Amino acid sequence: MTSLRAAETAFRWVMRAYPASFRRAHGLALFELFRDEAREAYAARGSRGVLLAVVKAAGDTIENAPAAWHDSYRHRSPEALVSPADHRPRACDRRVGRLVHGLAHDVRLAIRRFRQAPAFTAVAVLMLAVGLGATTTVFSFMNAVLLRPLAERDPDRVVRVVARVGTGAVGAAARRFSYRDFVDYRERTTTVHELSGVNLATLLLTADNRTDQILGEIASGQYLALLGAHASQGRLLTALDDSPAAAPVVVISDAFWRRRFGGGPVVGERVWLNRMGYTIVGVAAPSVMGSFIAAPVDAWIPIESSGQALGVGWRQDRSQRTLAVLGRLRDGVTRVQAQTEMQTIAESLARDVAPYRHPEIDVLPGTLATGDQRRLATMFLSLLLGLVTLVLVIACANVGNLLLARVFGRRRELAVRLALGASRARLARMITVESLLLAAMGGIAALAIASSARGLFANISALPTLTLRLDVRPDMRVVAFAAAAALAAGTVLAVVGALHAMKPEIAPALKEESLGSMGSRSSMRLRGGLASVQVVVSLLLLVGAALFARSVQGAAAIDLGFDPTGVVVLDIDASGGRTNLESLATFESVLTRLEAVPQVQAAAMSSRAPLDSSTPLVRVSAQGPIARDVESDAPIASLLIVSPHFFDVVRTPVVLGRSFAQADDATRPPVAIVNETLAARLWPHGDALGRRVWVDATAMSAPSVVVGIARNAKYRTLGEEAQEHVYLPFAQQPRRGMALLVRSSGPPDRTIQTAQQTLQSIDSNLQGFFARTLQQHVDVSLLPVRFAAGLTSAIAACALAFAAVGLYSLVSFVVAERTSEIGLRMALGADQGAVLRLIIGAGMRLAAIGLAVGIPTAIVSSRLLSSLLYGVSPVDPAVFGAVTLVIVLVTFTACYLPARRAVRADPLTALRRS
Amino acid sequence: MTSPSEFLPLKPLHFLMLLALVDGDRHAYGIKKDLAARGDYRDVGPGTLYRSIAQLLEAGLIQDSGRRPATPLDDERRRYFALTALGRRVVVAEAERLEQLVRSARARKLLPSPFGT
Repeated sequence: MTSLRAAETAFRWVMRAYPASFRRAHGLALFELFRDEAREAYAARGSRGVLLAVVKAAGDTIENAPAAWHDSYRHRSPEALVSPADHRPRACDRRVGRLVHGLAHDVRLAIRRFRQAPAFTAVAVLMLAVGLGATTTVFSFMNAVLLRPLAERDPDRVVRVVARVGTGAVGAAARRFSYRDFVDYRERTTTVHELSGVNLATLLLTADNRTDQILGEIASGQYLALLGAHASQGRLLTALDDSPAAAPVVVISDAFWRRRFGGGPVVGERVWLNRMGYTIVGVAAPSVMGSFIAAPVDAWIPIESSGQALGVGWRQDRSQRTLAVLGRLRDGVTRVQAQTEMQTIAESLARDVAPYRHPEIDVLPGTLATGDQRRLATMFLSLLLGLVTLVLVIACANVGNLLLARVFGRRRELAVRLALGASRARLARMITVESLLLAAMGGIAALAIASSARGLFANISALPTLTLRLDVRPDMRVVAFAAAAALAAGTVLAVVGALHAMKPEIAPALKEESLGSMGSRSSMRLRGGLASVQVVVSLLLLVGAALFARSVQGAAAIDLGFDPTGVVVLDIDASGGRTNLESLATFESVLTRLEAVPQVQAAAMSSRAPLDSSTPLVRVSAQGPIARDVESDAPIASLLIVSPHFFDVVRTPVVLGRSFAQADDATRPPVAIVNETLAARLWPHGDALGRRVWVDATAMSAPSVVVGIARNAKYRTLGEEAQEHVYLPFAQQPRRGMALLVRSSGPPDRTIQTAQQTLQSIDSNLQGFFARTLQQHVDVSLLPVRFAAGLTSAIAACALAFAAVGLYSLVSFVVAERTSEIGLRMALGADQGAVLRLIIGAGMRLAAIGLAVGIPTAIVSSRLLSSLLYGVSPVDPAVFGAVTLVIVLVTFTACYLPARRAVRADPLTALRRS
Repeated sequence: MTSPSEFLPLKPLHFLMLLALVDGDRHAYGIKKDLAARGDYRDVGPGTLYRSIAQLLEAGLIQDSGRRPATPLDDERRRYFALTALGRRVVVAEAERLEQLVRSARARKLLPSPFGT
């Protein structure tokens, strides 16, 4: 029955389309009638029937409301007729009615003309739909990543509090707050309430004798309420859950509930997270996705009962900046006021807990992406929006050209109308209505395209086990964007068309046109200009697409510094009740047993798989210990903790000195291996071997002795410049979470299976997660450039096709207009070649103008892409040559086809037509 | 007095609506059902129906009926409509006009004669 009530509400809204006088007279009864119908539909077919009834009623309203306005305008009720006084339309209704009447008339005329030219209408709407659809799709991504507020409740008041510290990976980590800092801010702030800290953590969830690695958010109790989340079952976390005495509870996501628990009853169930017992108290609604961009969150647990999920001692150590902080502005407080207050708190904290350095504080709108992520996403998406806007420009130019051709074709009709006394403004209005109608149809189709395109991109899968989840459902912002874009496109078309419709020369048009009449010269110049613009734009897009395509090749050719083929990777977490040392023993026996398997060539542990953007960065020094919490200019190096055979598994050569050995354990002096870049940076004289290096964040003050220098490799991203890097031995730096790397001659599936069995045979609680080949792992880094290449190629192909169609239709039109001239020329003895050259020459001149403008523009603008390109110059001559060739070929074909048609026509027929 | 011929020819929908009221007063939903039962305008929308009702009311061919059936299920607000005297004369005039048309069709042997001649 709720569907019935919803339908009634919907119909009440629909009824507003009628004039007030009509609603006063018949509104109630109309509503009753709808209700009768809806009830009957509900009885017969349930909610589907009701939906159908609403749709039908809406259609019926669209059909009748304009007529009702029309009636109310016409309404001149003679005294004799029964009509109670209050049913009579008011003056304002009548004014609106007159306007609606005129517009309705124009709309009807326009629709009739569209029906008379279905091909024109279809092509125009299709082109506008593709142009508007592409822009709307990209915008809906921008919306999801940059604009859509995280909070569903009162979104404008929810803010992110971030520390502003530099840029780059080090800066990104420092943007967060340590737990103790967070508590201090929470206690002192008066401008922001519900201040919540949150971070992602990998958790091991055990239920029904099975353990899975899941992603959870460790968050303050009021965090979910702050986001305005709702529970679909049970309840959400509350501030009470986040107190030391509270029993450990967990809320799980809707997706995880379906995936892991098969949608069965779970509220009140016991589960184990990192082998601590928790009670499931609720399932969050499907729309709750957490506040991290690349992370489909499976569970939420309060900070107080999170144990060591975020690290050892993270709640005491002010240097462990782990929490992202969100809060809600108190009523009447602006973001600037909150920021000023937070800054004051930061400064007083700096005094109280000196020498701890406190940063600048920013209070930002509460959206998904922050910091570097936001900067990158803004750059990439703006670029993309720019590209698809170019497609929209081409589409508009094309449709504009078609409209002009139609205006030209209708010049006799327009001239007759003018001669009969129609005002030029009225003609302009007619054209305007046509343009806006076309744009509106295009806009509606664009929304459909955008909402179906989200399926293509919504779950971009980086790895079989990891997906990027983005909520790209079109919301009001997206609809508004589509409407604005359609309006802009329509306005451009209307202005172009109306300007030309306003000046038909009456006398010549009324006479049957003279030989070779080409319309006004300015009109042809404008249409030629539009065609050239299309060539310019498709050239720009093609250059972008070709650069990205070359870049994919270039990226594949980049020397990784390691060999990803034949290696599988599994993440292992041995945190269950083990100390670091115990896990070391476990992992060593895993490696020993794996290496005994015949097909396994080598096996190793590493704190991260090679080429992983989450590889930690640390400060290193050749001079002395690195003081914590003090700004230092010590170089920053990426760090991997590896077992002895790591270099054999990934085949990175140790060029000087030795690799790690089994003997490098906790009882021996600490050792390290540095890469060539770090060695050259710290010891420019080339005597790195045997020197001492201090590595921050290793919780030890003793320096390590450099025993080897490894060949440079890519550590964090494919595009990184030569990066300083240091390796430490696993036996001296044991961890509980490691990546297991196995090089084997067997098929990857078999190797993964062998690895899992080996883990199980050592400890039934041990299992590998996110099993993948190292090649797959590396490919994740290639994803952005592959994505960009695919996308720009599609966009460019679209643009080129549009431009070809545009040029083709323009030349066809010219040929059709000049048929008699061509016939005359040929009758007088011009040969086919000369006529072909004449026509093709005219078309190619437009293409040449486009190239002359486009190539310099492309040379200047392709530099914008340079940061996204691998191994290819933004002004690559091969790319520019190939693109120019493609454009010349396509434009030539577009001109040749109609030209051939013209010369093949019988000169007599052509002459007779004039 | 308004002559019925001023209203001719009636729109088919208006004619059928007036016909539906010949047998007695009906509310809008009843009219709709009657149209559907005859097989014409099987699915006339509420807006179309009420615009026509408004036009017929304005032309004085129908009027609000004072009648309210005493069934408890019926809604107080539901409006019943009745033919006016003018309406009745118009519907008759329209029927005669249509009959005239049919007759001329028969005269041209388009339709079989009802008397089999």
